[in-house]
Amino acid sequence: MSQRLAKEYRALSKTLGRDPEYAYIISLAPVSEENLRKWESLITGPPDTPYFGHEFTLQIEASEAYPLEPPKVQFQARCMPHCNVDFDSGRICLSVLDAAHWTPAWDLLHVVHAIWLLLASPEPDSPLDVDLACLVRAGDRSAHNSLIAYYLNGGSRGHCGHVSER
Amino acid sequence: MTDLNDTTLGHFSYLNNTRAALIDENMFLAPFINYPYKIARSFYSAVLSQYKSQTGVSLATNSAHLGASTLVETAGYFFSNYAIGCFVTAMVLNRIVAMASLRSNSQVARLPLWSRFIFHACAILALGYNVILTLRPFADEKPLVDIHNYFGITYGVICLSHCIETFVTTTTNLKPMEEFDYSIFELSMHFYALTRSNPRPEDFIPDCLMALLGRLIIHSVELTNKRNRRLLLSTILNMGHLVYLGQRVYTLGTGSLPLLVRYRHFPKLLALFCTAVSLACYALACIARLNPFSSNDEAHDISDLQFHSFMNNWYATLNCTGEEEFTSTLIKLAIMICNPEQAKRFGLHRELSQLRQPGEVHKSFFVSGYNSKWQSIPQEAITDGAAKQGRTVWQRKVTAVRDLLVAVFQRLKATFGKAPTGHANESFSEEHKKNLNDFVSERNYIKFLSLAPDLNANRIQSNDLKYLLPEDDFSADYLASDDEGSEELLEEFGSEDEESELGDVPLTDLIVPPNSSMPAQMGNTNDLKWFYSMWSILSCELQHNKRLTRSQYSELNEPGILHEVMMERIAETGSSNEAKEKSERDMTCVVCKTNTRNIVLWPCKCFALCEECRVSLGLRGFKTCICCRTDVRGYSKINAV
Repeated sequence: MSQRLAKEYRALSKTLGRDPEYAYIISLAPVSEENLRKWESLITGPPDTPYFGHEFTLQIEASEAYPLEPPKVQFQARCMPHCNVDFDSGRICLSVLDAAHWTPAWDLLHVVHAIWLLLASPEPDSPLDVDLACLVRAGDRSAHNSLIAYYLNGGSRGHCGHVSER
Repeated sequence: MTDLNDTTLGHFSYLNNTRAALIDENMFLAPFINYPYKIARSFYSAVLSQYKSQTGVSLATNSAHLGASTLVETAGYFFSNYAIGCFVTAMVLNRIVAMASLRSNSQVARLPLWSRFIFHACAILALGYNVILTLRPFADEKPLVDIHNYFGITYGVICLSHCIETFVTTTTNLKPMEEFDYSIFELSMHFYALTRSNPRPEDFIPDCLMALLGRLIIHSVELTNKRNRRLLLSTILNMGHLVYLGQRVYTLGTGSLPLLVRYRHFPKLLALFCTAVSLACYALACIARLNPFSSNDEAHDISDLQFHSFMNNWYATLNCTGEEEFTSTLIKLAIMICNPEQAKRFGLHRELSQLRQPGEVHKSFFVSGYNSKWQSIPQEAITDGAAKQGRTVWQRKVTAVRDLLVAVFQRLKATFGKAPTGHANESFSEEHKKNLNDFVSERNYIKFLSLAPDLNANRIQSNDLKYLLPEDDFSADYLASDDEGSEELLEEFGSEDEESELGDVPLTDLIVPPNSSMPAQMGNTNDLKWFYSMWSILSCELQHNKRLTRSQYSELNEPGILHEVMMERIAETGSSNEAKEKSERDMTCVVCKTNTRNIVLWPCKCFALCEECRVSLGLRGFKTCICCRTDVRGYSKINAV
């Protein structure tokens, strides 16, 4: 039904792998060709961040009303420690994904790029992970980065304990 | 004469209106007023008597006097209570909708729940009472009220129901539900026709019942907040009615149905017929494909039938919200089935099909600027009117004073700050001889052109004289050069050169022969282009043996210019085919990426949408431009050819 997603898919298969700007995107494609509403993307972390060298899976779900409504995007649960990402569910707090700020002129590539940029610049004013947000706000960059590195390299993390501390 | 007069008067008594007079016969100018009055009176009484005689017989022999009696009956409608009722109701409905326009766009006024309940309950009670009234004759064979009263009451109740429904829906920002079969105008005509004749109960009761029940359905779905169930209920009701009609036609024949009933249900029946025939054809095609009777198992796939996808999701294609009425939906379905193109347009292949655009919406429902079409370039958009709109008098005053101060300051700066330099300029120019450039205007420049060669001749003697040519033109334009590059170019222009020689026109200094006009720095492509364009003009001048301006040249040599431009364009675009492809792809709408863009938004002038996406965005209440986030106040459709 949705030709727009089909067109995006076609355009992406052309641009991805060619455009050096989007070299960090390993894959961005629908889960199956039958259902273009569910997409999945594999991206590498941006350079000069603790995420660099790691790979992350984004789950994208475009609603019936896409592109008039923003797609639902989230990281795989319990994989992404970031101050704007809910660690347990993978939910992302990003204005672009908000219905009020979304504009139909954007497509999925824009969304992935925006999320990728968010990784490099955490926004402590609208946190979903209070611990990391506190560290960012305090300006303790090294603690922030090493905590993330610790989690990414297999460090265990309590379920919801970090939220109740505040 | 008198005999004739008497007999005529005897036969046509209504002609005798001699005694009728508006004013006294003795008064001044009395005949001028009285005679037309008498004639009109006679005519009126003639019509009246004719009408009386017709209606006397018309009940007995219906077809014989169709002409005059129908005319009178039709004219009589306009003076009947029903016409007046219809007119008044239409006016009230119109006012109710217009009243909604007083509301601001941002605030949605909502009726409190109890008032909505009371309104609908009123309507339902009245309708219910009327339904009982309608069914009364069946129960005890004795009508509750006189039949004429009954029609009046029924019509009044239906009008009331319309008013209540429109009021409640418009104040809650919804669209009033419409009755396709029983509009108030049609009903008024129907009731009028019924009162003129002496109808049997079975002729009018089904229709009255249908109309009343239809209104009842509307009110009950509104009251229970289940507007999307209306289609279902309406379908059940109509199916029942259709069964009744079919049964009646079957037992009593088509002739038993009154004319108005036949006329009313014609579109519905036609649509039903079309749908049924198409379904039958489709079923036949399916059977032929599947071939259940054949011995071998060679079953064909039915999915490659043209209408397979349509039949599989016909309801989605129909694009219903559930608030529609049975008849209109049925007709829409029939149209789609009959015309695949129509189906495409109505939404089979539409990108965003969840929303249906209402046909006509009152301006007050324009929540977003995506819905308000502007026919021309709005002045407001050019001179940013947004700021001016919301200003108070005080703000305007402040800005006016500020503007004034700025202007005064600039004026002072110009007079005092620049005074010395201006003075110096003046004294400097006085030293020179008169500057011809100062006297050239659009009207008289031709004289100066013809003057130019003479001045050119004088150039050597008086070097300080000013010419029409740019003052600081130090290029080596007039120097002959023997460069290789110029030789090549010369070859190109060889034919032109011959032509100019053949033309035998004395060349002025302005039209320089090519061999001397080739500057050494011709490598610059811009100069080259300029030279090419000039060259064609000059050669044309030689052909026509007169001096040409550019506009004259374009008039004379239109095909030549067209050819030139085309050659230039082809040379430019032919080399970069990829760029061309890219630009074409970029002209698709940014939202659906399918259609070409044809909507420009005001005041931001962003050109990124197609009509369909504009509709979708508007219905969803987008207020800002999807590209630049400016507030959208209107749009215009662009015809890209």
